[in-house]
Amino acid sequence: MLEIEHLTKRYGRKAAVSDLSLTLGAGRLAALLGPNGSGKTTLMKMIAGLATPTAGTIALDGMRVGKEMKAHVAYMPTEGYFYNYMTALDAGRYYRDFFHDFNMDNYLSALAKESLDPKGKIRTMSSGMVAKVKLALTFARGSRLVMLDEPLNGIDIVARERTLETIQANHGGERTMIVSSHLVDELETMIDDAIFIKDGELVLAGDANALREKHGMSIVDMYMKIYGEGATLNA
Amino acid sequence: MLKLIKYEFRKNRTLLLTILGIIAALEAYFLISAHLAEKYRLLDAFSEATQKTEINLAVSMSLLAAASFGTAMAVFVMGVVGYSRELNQKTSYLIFMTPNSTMSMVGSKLLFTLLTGVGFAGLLLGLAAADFPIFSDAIGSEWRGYYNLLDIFMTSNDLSLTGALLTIAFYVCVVFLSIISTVSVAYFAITLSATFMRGKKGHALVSVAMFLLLSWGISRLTSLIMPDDVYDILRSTSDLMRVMAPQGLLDVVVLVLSLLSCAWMLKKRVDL
Repeated sequence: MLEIEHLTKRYGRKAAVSDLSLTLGAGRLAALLGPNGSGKTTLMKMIAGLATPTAGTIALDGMRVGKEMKAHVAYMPTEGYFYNYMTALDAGRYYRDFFHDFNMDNYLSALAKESLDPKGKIRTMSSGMVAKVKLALTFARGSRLVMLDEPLNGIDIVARERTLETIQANHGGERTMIVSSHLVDELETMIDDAIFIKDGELVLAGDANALREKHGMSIVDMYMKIYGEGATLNA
Repeated sequence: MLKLIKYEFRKNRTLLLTILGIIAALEAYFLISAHLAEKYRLLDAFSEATQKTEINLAVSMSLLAAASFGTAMAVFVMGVVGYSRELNQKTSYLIFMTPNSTMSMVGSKLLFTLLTGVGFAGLLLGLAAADFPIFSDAIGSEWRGYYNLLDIFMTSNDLSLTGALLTIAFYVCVVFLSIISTVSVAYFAITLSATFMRGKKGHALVSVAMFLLLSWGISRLTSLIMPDDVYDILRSTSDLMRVMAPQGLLDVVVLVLSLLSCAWMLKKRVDL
């Protein structure tokens, strides 16, 4: 279970995340929704230990962010983060060396499924191919928490379908998954929970079905209500 | 930490191989020059061709000496710039996502710099030792004579070979400790700039100024604890140890404090 309490991240006077509290149960697939600059990436980076909160706490199954928790968190950043020399195989070896839950066979078969050459240099790959490598690396881990930051960005419609299939195929068991996106309609049918953040603040969160029932509209419509002109929807 | 060090070497492989390639090329130049110098000297010691080959030999030796200095600088810059780049590029995710302590992350980079420095120093000293007899042969000098001279000097000054080697080893250790302590101060300034001062105007400039200021402060402190007539009072290994131990100790303190501070700052204020 992921528990976030009163989390705040400030950059100077600007708050990227403000007093955010949230609980996500094991095995849930949550969509982290919000337009660009709403604080989604900052929140994920804090959970992954790549940014330190100004205030508040984060805990995964009782573990605070740190060495121990990082062993159980798989984070897929939206940017490319590989060293220039790395081939897809090198990246797999790197993950195998540092993450005990990484399965090299699963990774290589995921690459093969996507017709990606393991010996291909990542820096020479297209953004769609890099996205596939990142996804294969992330899901080759047996982590308790998986976070995908904008996995649908910069990829064509076919790759997008494949990505959504991969997410769905890896959903289940005790693994909690957070997928950030502003492409809400793509995620609508597959998510268990929806988290809406705006200007770093939690606007609305909860079980997707319960939210639909309570507000009498789809998640896409809620998104429009929250972030569209003359926003009217609140928790 | 060993795995982190392994990836430091892998990341810098191209640069390290380039340095090795340059050293190998210069060594080949020296060996060819030495061979030709000896060959022409045996034919006619005073011919123009012999003089040309001797000039070539001198140039090759100068280049090797320059390469030694260049290598030292390159290793220092590689260690410092590599760390700075790591904290300011997205590739840092690869390290910071892994279940390693911040101490291991900083320590591995420092150890990589130290190991690279020691490796190149060993290589260059080994080459110097191997090249010396070749050089002597090339110019027609009896190189064993230099060793005999050294032997006579050591005997007359009551110095043993073990003592001399110990002195050299101790001196080299103190020098390396001093260099790595300087690198750690650079790490401290870079970490401060990338954590507590991130986003603030002119943070890079402040970081450089802080490094210079700290280095100056430490060198002032070193000069205070070192006697003025340091080279006059050196008579034995124990003299050297007695004189240089405080400096070594200061370097260890600076190194440990810098490492602890970097690890703490990264833990408390990392922002990638």
